[in-house]
Amino acid sequence: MNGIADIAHSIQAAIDQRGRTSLLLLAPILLFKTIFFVIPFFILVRMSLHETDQSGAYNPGVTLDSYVDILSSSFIHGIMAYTFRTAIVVTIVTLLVSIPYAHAAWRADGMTKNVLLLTVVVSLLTTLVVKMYAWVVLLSPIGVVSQAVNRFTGADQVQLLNNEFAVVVGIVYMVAPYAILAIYSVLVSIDEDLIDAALDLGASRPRAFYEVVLPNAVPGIAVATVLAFTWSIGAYAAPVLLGSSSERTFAVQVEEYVISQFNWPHGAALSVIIVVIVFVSLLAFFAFIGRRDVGGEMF
Amino acid sequence: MNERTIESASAPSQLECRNLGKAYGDIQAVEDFSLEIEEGELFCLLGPSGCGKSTTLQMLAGLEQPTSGSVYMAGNDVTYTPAYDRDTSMVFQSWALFPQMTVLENAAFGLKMDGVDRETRREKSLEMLEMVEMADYHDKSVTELSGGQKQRVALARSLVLQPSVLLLDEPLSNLDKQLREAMQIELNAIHDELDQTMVYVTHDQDEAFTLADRIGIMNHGELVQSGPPREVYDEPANRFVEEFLGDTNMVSGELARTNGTDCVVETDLGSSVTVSKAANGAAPGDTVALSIRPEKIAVAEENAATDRDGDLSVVGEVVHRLYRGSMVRYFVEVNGEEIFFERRIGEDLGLSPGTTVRIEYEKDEINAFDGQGELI
Repeated sequence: MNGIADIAHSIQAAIDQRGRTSLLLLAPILLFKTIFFVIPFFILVRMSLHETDQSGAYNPGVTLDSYVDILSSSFIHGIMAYTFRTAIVVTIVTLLVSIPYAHAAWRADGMTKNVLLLTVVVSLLTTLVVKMYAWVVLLSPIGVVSQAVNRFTGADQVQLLNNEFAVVVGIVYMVAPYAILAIYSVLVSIDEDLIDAALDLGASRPRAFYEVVLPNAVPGIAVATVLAFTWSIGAYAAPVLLGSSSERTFAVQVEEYVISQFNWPHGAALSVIIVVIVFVSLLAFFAFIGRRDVGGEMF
Repeated sequence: MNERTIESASAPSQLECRNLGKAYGDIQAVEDFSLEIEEGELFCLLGPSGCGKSTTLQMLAGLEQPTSGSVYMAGNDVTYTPAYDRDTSMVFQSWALFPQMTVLENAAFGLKMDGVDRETRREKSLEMLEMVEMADYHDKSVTELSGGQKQRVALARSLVLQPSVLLLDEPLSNLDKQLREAMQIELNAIHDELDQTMVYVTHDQDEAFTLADRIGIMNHGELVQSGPPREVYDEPANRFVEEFLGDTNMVSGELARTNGTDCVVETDLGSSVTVSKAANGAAPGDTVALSIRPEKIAVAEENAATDRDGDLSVVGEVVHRLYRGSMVRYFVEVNGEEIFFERRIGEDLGLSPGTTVRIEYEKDEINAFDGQGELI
């Protein structure tokens, strides 16, 4: 699982094997990606190299000033640290929620299975902003969740909104359905005989899960990890709606640069930095996953 | 309690099922299944798809819970003992090898679960892989193996645990014919060498006859008959067993008269035949079905003198000739009914469609069944 290298390799293999047919089949997606992703990204890179201008969005020119400013600012360092910490917490929480949920949906049958899966899909049908405002309602001091926590803990007034907790809850709620479906889709492809075989050979149920299910679910868990991590690095809505001024992520800062400060080169430069950081993190992650064996060691 | 005491006077069977049943909602998959299997025995459970044989095996493995009845191993009730605490091991139809592990890791899995130390499990697994001729492949990923090789690894993975009973669920059904036959011989050899008690589920009667010390035939969730291969073939309990164990001609007729030891049957072939069987409850006038095995039909010229008293002897016209590999199957139309028989391909009878022949069948070879399909 070497990620990009593998993908490139398989595309190359496909082209070698079926030549022009597969190129033709790839054409629409390549065209789409070029127009809506590659070209805009180059425009973004170009923008990050322009000079900043006090009276306008930018001054044409070529300079690395924006990068130097951003990378040397301790304020931005703080935002980076915060964003990364949040992304890691969100990723861990998402996996802790998604793996058992996907596993339950996989093992359940009949009505239970349908309800579990439908619940996930239905939450995908609601738009992001609505979902975030729903959490505002739930977590606000007069909301159901806060009231319940007050009642049970005897606390005077618990603060659940406008803090890091609310931000993590919000992002996890956005990502979890995708993570669950990614893991579920891999679990259903596992031959159920494998679990029977493990039980038959003396593995208890938890042991069979650890030795057989988990290693086979790695691709799905990897996808879920990537989804959760990249999504929370780029999170905007949750920090803005559920956080406070101290829950400031990259995306919030980009908005600040572009809209409030009208400093497009800084906004563009920070965006490019985010893209590079995410890309490097993913490569490191894939390298890690590729080398590591999950499940117990045999010898 | 008393029953148990009396039985334990003789050594308890390696495996025993008593009135085992499994219902899925309204569907009764297995019903009233009782069987004893002795140590070292190779028992084949044979039946058509959906007859409940695999479900029965799963209950023996502890992977399915019976809804009635019980399972004993060496006299101990293991009905509700989970699979991982049970001294059985299963070879699955799909082989169920762990794809992320090597051949050796697969073979060592059970030993690892049993808490055997690294060195010993390596040694024992290699030894067992050696036995199934897969030791050279121990470092390979199981996904790189052919079907036959996977099958061997699956076998080694189970055998290395030295289970009291090895359960095999159609392990050869995914292999081609040649490989399947070679594996049958090897399985027999392994069975002899290890004196391993085995319960082998298959839908292939040839396989069952090749392997089994004893065959149990299942239909609609029930064990219809069990016994040594020759016995079930020659003395089927009912028409289902007769038809399932091999192609046969079923000819219907009417019971004309009976004298207590023989029955005379007027067949639809336009000739009567004396069946050397007591009527067994069937009365004159009852409809009966006669099974005429194709391999036991004799062929003579149309006008050949018949001194075969009471045997079936009828004249008909060859209508088809079908080449089936090493055998030729001839279809003869007799009085509007079609009868087929087979000869080896080298044994040229010079019969082409249109030829008229006399076909004869010994009365002692005939099995007759009453209207309910029970053997007369």
